[in-house]
Amino acid sequence: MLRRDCLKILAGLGLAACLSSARAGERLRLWAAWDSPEGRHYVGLLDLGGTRVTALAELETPTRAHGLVDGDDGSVYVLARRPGEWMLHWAPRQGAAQWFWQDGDRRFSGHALRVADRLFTVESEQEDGRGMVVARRPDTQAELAAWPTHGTDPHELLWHQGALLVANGGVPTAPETGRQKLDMSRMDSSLVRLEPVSGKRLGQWRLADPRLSIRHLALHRSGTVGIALQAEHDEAAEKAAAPTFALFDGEKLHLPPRQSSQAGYGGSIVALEGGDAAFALGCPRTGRVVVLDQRGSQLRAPELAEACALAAGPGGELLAGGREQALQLPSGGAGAGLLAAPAYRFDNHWALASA
Amino acid sequence: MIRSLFLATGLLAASLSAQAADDWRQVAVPTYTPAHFVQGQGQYWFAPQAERFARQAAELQAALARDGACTAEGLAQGRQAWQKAVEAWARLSTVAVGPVNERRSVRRIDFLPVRPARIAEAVAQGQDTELAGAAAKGFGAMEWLLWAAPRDEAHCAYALRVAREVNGEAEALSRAFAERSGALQGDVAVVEAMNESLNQWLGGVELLRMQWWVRPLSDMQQKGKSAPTLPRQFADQAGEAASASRSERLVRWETLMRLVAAEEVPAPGQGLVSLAIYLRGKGLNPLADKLIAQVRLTDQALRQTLQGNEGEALAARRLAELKALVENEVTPVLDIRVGFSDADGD
Repeated sequence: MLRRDCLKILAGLGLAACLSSARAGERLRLWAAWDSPEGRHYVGLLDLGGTRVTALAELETPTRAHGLVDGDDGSVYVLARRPGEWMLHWAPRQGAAQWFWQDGDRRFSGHALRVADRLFTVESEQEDGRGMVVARRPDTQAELAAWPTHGTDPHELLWHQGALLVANGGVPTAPETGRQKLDMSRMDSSLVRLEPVSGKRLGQWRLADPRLSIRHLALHRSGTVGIALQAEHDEAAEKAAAPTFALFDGEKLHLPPRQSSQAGYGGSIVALEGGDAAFALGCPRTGRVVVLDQRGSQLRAPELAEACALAAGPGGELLAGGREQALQLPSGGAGAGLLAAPAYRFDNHWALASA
Repeated sequence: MIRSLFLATGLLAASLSAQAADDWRQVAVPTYTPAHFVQGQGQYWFAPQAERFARQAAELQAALARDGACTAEGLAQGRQAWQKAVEAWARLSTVAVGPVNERRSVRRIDFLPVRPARIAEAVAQGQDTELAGAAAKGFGAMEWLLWAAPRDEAHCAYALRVAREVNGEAEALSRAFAERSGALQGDVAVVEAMNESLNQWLGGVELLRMQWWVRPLSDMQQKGKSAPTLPRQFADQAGEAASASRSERLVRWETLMRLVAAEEVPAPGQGLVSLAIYLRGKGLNPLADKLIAQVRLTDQALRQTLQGNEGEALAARRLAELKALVENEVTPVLDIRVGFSDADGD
């Protein structure tokens, strides 16, 4: 609360003072989004260096935020949760908040990717729900090109083998009814690879089970992509037992066997370095962070209520956000620490702040 | 099963009365079923609003056909008819259920923001509205044609074609809603309709908040403007219809308020049952009181927005609080799964 009070009192000039004191210790900082106890939505820069999570800067957003992309210069790109109307480029130290609003034809799908002088945003057409990847200028967010993702309900994308790899969640929705799922027999999820200059489709992969939605992606240093899945089966038991993790090696997309039951919901994924761990999966419906090796075998699954937001720290540690708590897990898996985060209900994703 | 029956001796005002919450402990309210809820909405709200919209859309087409938008008199009548038709449409579509969704009517006849370049292109090509994209037709296109476009034969003729299409859509909606009232039978259909109604009520709140408050305010702050530009921006600029956006905004809010907080207590199957009265019928008076209190707070904030932009921000916040209350506290007790919900996955 002291930090928040500081921010309120020193809004403007004081903001720099709050930030500079926090930077002096070179503490671990993350971009995050969260809801306050009053249900208001925020994005902010968090300090995880002590025994509790504190906000170094925060900004209220009109709706829930989703994906966060570090700008490498003290700024962050924030994408509205799907179907999203806004994108924010925010540099708290400069006090600069640049808002970009969609103009009616498309909505943001929640994620973006910065590659060199391009910002790639994932969007959906309002007319027919087609997924699109839009190449934009990072400074103005002006559109440079737009390419179809060859699917619907597109979600996260990453840079893989010199191309864009995009997750088409495949869940049918309509702009008139928001996030409501329509006619699930039409569900068609896929992973698609796009050439990053022309947008040409270079490959497309599907899982055998059409009710597994491919949503979140993370690239391991080995080149293998870990994928967080969300099950959309009609039967509750089938959904609860469904796998939540897939692997893609650049040629084959497959489900590792003997997966633990995570209520059919993998909320986010991060690649890890050090030790045997290769990926971590945030599973808010079971309240666990599932740590997996490179073949998708489960190594451990520490508990954390509403665990979802994940990041890999510079020392190889796993960082996870849950309801009013954050977890720090060293790369070896021993010596997990919990940080108090009172009044924070973290949203799905975190991003490490680099500058 | 009716626990007790209260026969309303007269209709309460549509706006919220100042009735103290405690009174409801002494007022017997019938137990309503989901069928009473959705059939009441269909018969006593949506079908009449669809009929009304069809009448206003027919008048809009007639006004433009009679004198054309190129004469001064025809233009004035067309503008007036447009505003009445837009308000009737807002009453029907603010909570977009059933045929409005199935026909994708919002997309067909109410694309926003207005795209003058797309409309001008369609006019120049002499396009039939069937071929023109959503951005070149509907109420937004008509607004630009009636207030901002050149007054030549091509533009006036195109305005009439757009009006015909709006009228055709209104007639189709009126027929569909009339048939729907009788078709909502059986447990599955009723539960789906109730789900849809509450989901779309939440969607209506969010649309009102974002499109009519948050976005205009953000745009104003970004561009350093002295006042927000509201969605019906061309009609707003003209002196004779300076309040087009604000009137529509109020109509949308009153629609949302009526469906959730009207205090009339009809006999089951004999009238519109608001969400608050439905909750009272289930004995959930504290929750109904909380809902009514939040609606009152929101109503006060929205009505104060005429006084300045600071009030606009408060109004947007109150709408968000109201949405959160219904999402987080009301829909769970009614076992409604909300597609707009913040609790749903991503």
